[in-house]
Amino acid sequence: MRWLFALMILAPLLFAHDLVHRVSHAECIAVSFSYADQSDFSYQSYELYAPGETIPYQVGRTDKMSSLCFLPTKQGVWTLKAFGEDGHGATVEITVDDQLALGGYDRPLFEKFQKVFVGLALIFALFGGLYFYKKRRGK
Amino acid sequence: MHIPDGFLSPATYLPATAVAAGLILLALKRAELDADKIAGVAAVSAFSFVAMLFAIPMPGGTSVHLGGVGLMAVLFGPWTAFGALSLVLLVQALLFGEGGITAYGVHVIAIAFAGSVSAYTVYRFVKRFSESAALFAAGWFGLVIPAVIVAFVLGIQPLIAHDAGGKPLFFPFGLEVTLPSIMIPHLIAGFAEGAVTLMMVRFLKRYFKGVFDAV
Repeated sequence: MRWLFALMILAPLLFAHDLVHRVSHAECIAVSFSYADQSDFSYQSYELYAPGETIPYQVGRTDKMSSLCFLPTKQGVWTLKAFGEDGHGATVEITVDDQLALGGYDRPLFEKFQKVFVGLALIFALFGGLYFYKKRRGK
Repeated sequence: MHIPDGFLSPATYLPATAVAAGLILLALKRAELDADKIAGVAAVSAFSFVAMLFAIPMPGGTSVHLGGVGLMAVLFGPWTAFGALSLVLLVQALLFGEGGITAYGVHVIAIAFAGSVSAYTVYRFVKRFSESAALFAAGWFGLVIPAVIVAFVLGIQPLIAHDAGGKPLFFPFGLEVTLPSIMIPHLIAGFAEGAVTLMMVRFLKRYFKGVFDAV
């Protein structure tokens, strides 16, 4: 009887190191990387810092699709540092709003200036066409 | 300074589009654009396009940006400047949402036409006294005159488009709001535009003499 009693007392300890889990559907903030030539950035390491923190909130590697997700816990600017094994990397600042949803992020340089490049190319193309038209009419 | 779609009533933008179309047709006849000048016009149009993209938000909900209108008018004359600026405004409206498509006519009249003509006229008048002052004044007027027209057009919307109860159907603020909120930043930004016009003309005529020596 004493043995049975001792077993009952100690039995919960067996579960103390059992890793439990819960699966749910939540809206996270997803970040995808790629090189400028659209080649992938899969399985590369990253560190994510919550606003005002110096210890990473999350570390890991990008998945097969060069993406990662995180569930923000507070409002502010989150800093994501990604490191490629070839030495390339990027730091992305992601703004989380008071609803813990995506508020904005700093865009890559190319995306920022894409409009300028396309507009300039179009303007020069139009004037180039006009030049050849004028030249042909002048002959 | 660019007006988005939905701010102007049809009673404003339909006649403005018709007037703008007429002015563009007139410019096709009157603009003196030799093939040799096209490289220069294209370069200054590109500068104007970029300058207009970088708008600085201002208190009162408006924004201010440089335009290169005076620069264009001084270098190429009012009609060529008008045609080139109309093209820049069209590219911005059609492809980049910088200014509404329905507001294109008002932009052409205010920025391309009134801006170019006023800048060129002031330049010709002041040039008799001082070339530098004339270039500066051309830049200042090339920015401020379009701002006056845009402020006026926006400010009269509640007067010309409202429901039976007097509630504005399009842009809701009157002249007492639009004139100070648009004009004050542009009166100040005009000094930057004047300085840029003066420096750019000096720079282009000095270092790109081959392109601009015929100007």
